[in-house]
Amino acid sequence: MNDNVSRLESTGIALQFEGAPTDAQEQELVIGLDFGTAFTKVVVGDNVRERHIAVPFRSGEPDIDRYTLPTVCWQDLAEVYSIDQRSGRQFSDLKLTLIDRGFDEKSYPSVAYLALVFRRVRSHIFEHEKGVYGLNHISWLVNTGLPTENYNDDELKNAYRVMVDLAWVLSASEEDITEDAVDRLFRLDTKDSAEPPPDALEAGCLGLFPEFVAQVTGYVRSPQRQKDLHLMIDVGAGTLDVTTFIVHEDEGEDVFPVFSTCVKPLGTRYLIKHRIGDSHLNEEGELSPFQQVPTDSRFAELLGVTSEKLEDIDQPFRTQAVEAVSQVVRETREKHYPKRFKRPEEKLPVFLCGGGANSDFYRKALHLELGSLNRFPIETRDLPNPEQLEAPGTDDFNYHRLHVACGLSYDPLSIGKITIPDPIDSDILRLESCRKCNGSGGSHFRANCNACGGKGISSTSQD
Amino acid sequence: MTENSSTLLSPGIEVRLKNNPGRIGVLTNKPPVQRGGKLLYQVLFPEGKSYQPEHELELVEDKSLNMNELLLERKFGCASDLRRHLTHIHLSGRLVDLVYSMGTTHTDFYAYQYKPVLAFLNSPSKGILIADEVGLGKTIEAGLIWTELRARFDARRLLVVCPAMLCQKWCDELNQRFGISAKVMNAGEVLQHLQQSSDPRRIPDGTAVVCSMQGLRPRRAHNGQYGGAAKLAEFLESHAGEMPLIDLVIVDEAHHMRNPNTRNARLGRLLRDVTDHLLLLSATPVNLASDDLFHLLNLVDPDSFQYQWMFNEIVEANHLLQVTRDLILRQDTGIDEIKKSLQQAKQHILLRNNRQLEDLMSSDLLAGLLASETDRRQLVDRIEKTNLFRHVISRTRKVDVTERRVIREPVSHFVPMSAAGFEPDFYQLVSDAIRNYAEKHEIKEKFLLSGPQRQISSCMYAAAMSWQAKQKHFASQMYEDFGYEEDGADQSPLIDHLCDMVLPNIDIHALYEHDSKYEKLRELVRGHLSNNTKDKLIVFSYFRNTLFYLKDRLSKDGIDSQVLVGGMEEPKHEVIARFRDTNGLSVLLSSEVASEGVDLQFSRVLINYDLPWNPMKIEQRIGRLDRIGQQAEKISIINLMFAETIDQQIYSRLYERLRIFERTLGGMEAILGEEILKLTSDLLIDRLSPAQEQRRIDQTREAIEKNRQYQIELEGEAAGLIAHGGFILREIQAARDMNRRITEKDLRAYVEDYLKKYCVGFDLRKDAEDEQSFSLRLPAKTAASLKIYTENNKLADQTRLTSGDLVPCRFRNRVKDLFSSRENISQFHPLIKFIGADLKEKGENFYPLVAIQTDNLDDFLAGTYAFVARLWLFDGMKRIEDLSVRAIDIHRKELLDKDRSWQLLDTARIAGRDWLEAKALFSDDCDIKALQGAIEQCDSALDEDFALEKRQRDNENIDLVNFQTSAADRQKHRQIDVLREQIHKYRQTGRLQMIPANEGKIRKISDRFDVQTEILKHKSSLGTEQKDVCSGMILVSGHKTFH
Repeated sequence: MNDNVSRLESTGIALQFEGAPTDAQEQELVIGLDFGTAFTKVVVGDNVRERHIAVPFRSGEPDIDRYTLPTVCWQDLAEVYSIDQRSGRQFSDLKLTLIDRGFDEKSYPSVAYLALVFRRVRSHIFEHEKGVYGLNHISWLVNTGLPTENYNDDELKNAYRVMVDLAWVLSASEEDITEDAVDRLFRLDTKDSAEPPPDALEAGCLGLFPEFVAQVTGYVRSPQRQKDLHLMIDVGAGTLDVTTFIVHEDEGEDVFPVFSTCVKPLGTRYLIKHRIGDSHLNEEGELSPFQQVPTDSRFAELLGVTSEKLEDIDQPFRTQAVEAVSQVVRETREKHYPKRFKRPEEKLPVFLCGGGANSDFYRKALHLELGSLNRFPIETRDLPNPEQLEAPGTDDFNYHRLHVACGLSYDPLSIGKITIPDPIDSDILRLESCRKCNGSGGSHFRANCNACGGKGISSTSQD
Repeated sequence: MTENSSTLLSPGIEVRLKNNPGRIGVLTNKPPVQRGGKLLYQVLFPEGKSYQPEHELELVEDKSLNMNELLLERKFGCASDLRRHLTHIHLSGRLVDLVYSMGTTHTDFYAYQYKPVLAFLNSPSKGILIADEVGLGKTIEAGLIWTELRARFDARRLLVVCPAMLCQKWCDELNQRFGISAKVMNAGEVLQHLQQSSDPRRIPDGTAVVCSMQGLRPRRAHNGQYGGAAKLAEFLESHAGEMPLIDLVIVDEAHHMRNPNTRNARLGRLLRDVTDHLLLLSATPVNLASDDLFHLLNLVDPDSFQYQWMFNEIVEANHLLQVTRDLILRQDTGIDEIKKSLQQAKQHILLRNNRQLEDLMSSDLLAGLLASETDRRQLVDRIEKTNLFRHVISRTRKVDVTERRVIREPVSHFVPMSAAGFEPDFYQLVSDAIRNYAEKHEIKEKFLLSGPQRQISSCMYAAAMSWQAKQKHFASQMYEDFGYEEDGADQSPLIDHLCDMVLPNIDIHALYEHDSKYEKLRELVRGHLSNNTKDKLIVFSYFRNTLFYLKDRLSKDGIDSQVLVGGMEEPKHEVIARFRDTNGLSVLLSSEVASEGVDLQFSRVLINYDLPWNPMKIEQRIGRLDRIGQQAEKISIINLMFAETIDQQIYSRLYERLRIFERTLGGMEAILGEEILKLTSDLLIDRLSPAQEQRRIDQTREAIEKNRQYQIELEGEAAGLIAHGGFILREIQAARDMNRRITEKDLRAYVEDYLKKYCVGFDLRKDAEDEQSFSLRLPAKTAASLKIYTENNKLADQTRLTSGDLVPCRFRNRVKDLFSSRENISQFHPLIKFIGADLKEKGENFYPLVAIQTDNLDDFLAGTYAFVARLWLFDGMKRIEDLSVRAIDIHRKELLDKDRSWQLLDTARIAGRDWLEAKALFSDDCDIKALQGAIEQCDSALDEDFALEKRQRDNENIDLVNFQTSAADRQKHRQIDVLREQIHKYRQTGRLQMIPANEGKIRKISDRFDVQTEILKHKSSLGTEQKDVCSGMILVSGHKTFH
């Protein structure tokens, strides 16, 4: 570990600014944690001053790359985890492991990874924002996103809860982050103990939100929001998430009646795998999951085929991707919101977002073929970049990669809720994340939330 | 928030955030939520709802925020608070230092063109005479003045009165350069238009009426029937002195109104009495010895120049001031000498009570001001400000304008006529036929017969063909050649005569086959293009048929050309652009009238296919190429004419000797036309021997030469008496350097801030085209409000944003852009006006204390500055608003002057961002006291500035009021004396019945004077007001920092 990294991590162990007065005024800062399959991004929100500060992890990198941290960690011979060492045993697919297995020992590297991330985040704030917050007592909140399709999966929510809680406590501990340290902490039977660890996140300070909600929060909180049906196509590394929703305000809360959703393993990694097929190429170098997908012409060059041939190769994959979108639109049109589709003069707004949104394949496939989709006119837009997002050095083109983290850095109470409308054209029954525990269901170190019984979801009548 | 106040946190209450005090919202009725041991309340902010912790909230009890308390509590607002407030003042105000027209029109920037703009804005009579030398762009200056009036006062009613031949040119200029859609109207239409225009809001924005002086001037009723012009005159008379019917009348070639006994002058007076502002344009030399200038100034400012004696007095007074000014400019003059000179000036009746001079003399200002050249210059400026002409006349001469001049290289070709083509015969036949006709018909205005003669000088074949086709209207050619117009100059009988007498005797086909002049042209064009393939050549002719003929012939010879004449369907600028940009299209065949107002400086070769006899027309042709933007060092002027004709004589004896092609003629336009008219009729109609012809031409040359000399002398004399405007030019340059205008960024920030705050659901997308290109969709509610606003204000056809559709826009502070499909959001755009009106109606309370940081600025040392900005209002003869700023470098304790303070704040407005660390940095009481002290220093400096400014404005105001009161008083006495004398006569002659009427008149004059005096008295006390705008801190970083 070099000196700089070691300094960053040790500074970030503290939870408060050094020398903050004892009677300091309280200041809430929200850590918006976008724990992605390939990259993790963090934006810290101050919702009084309307600031959203992107945390740079790799200061030497150009443009957006400085704010993206590969979701990978390493373990040295002493079993100490690191996110920079790049030697020893490597752990990747951290998120997929958690989703596939729930929380178990295999998730320890994820806890270690996040603990290191939290240290980096705090260290950045302590070093660069002392002038603004140095005299305050910081109340930390953490919001993180879950894959949208898993939002009702209580077990998974619990797994996230445990992971983040443990990581937070671990990050504030002076000891090295080792497998053993994670294990000890996990095994603390805290639920029965009277006192949770002093550094644990307070009740209501951990929020879990569907990633799609976070993705659109910046937009929904912006004055540009439209009260219309939207189609969102989120191209991630693993999945292609397609959702239709409307932006709606209900008794002062932003709610998103979600009509139809489709999540398919059609993200950039699968596209690359599909294209490589049986060829001589493998997922390394510019084809590694941690790189942007090469342009189509470059890909054709790598494969040694013509552009036309590449289109042929893509055909089955393209059909699946377009079908995923078609299916959602069809379902929305037929089952949920036929009224909207009687106004063809108003084009349907479509947001194409996510890390893979700029790659040629998705742009072309979804943009062009969608033009005639279901014979309904659409209008592809970029999600507006949150103006208060402070990410120096990033060009407008790449801001979108920080949208989820930025959305998560809003006050958890102000982040919109998903509702499920039913029957057609109405939204009577809604399920939303519990306001008491911000959808987390409680905390690993505390009893389940008594409002939702640990489910993190409640019906609106419950408030 | 204390326990007590927390109980006050009930729904509907207005709160602000302690750490972002510019953010104000209302508590909703949602119950508070508990989190981590604290309560959070839902607050509805203009841009949306959010939960905020209780300790961040405080009640907005007192709307008038106390800056000092806020400072002690370190509650600093942010960059957007400052930006919104200042931009709002800029856009909705009428700031004296801001030149709203600057950079907004499709014209190049020349400081001197803004001189009349500033003089006009300060003119209490709301009128000015622009007497620039020809070729300096009076039309542009007039357009800038109109643009300024539009921006400041939403003025909409513009009437341009000009010679008929210039109507179209005015329409084109207004359209292309100033985004005004102008329509030519006759007297009847103008009458109808004015009948509807009493309510300015009923006139669509961005329109204008153009009409000919001849068509509008009042005529008597004919056989009891009133024509349009007579009805118009009656209508104007009946509305004289009432609410203005027109916002601005521009009279071009205003010297036509110089004789008070003419119908033109009467038209001038009628218009003056129904318009709010009046602008006269004339290139007439400023001749103080003749009455002409007085009569024009009488139109512009009838109060100050009612009688000739008033004018003479002003000339005398100005002469005394001029003497003093010259003394000051001489470095060796001592203070006593200057004081003595000032004393002498002060003895003049008009300067006796002059407060500005008094102020200058009574203070020790004088001694202090003479230390350096800059000081002397300042003193000169102050003396110039007392110049009594400065608000009524603006004059710029070419010698005053320092621009790069290109060398003009004239080459002439005298083409021998072709015997094979019977050219000499044809020429002789036509000349004889015209003389015969003149002798037979005793034509009074003989020059009218010159048309056909000039046509054959241009092109024999084209002339013959046009006669054959019985084309008989020469009006445009008259204007082209002589600058002269007359109604109904019917030439049909002459053409019939030529058709009978000449055409049967010539072979038109031979004229075509052996066209010696064309052959010369072809040789020249081919020769030039073979060496310079990409060059563009401009060929001028005053005869349309010549141009079309040349196009045909060049085309047959394989040379592509483009014709440009008046009345083409395609707009001129498009024709020119195509010609300029199309490879292989090498020759532009242009009539001179068609080329007026267009820029041809991309070409360096001009060919005069024929020579107008009026040297001013030559000058105008050359002026198309010899203008700013001409890249070549030299331009070639090639003149073609038939050898051994009058044209050749005129060229050699008149033009060459007067060096017409190489030097400009200055302000001789008016007299040249007359001289040439006389010469024309003598040469063409009278049968003169060659020697007599030569003598006649020499006489004209001598007359012109003499006149030129006379003009030079007059100029020398007048230049001193009319304010130089040097200080105005410096103000203009400063305005430009300091960006004292509305920028694209201002507009964008203004619109974006408004949308974010009040228009949920808007869609503003950046388009790839360029930095300022966007697509904007307004939410239904805003679109509807805008629609109502535009309908009520006659702006409906100016924006598509009212549709609620996504509209491609560009933030560009330019008047309507004809070439863009994007909607131009400029300060004139309905959306900007709507936002201004809406914010005014909302009475938005802007946050008064801010902390801002900006990155390193070249002009300012890194450090922390405190500043105070105030809005000053002065209301007297003119209403003036001024945004005044003072800033201080806190640590160096260095107070910045007014201009630099303004510049610092303006930079912070445009490029500043929140300085979040300010609160922590100033947590120490000592620091906050230092800041408080710095702000107090700025306050005191502003108090002093205000006192000084008030004194100066007060003096100016009182001087003006006194001047007008005393003039009115003396006028009253003169008028009454005349009437009393008449009464006396009536008594003596026993015509007693006439006396009551005259006594009534005396009473009326007295009453009118009393009212006038009361108005002036009212205006003599200068109303003043100071409003706090904003205070705070600006951190100028020494190096580029975050974001």
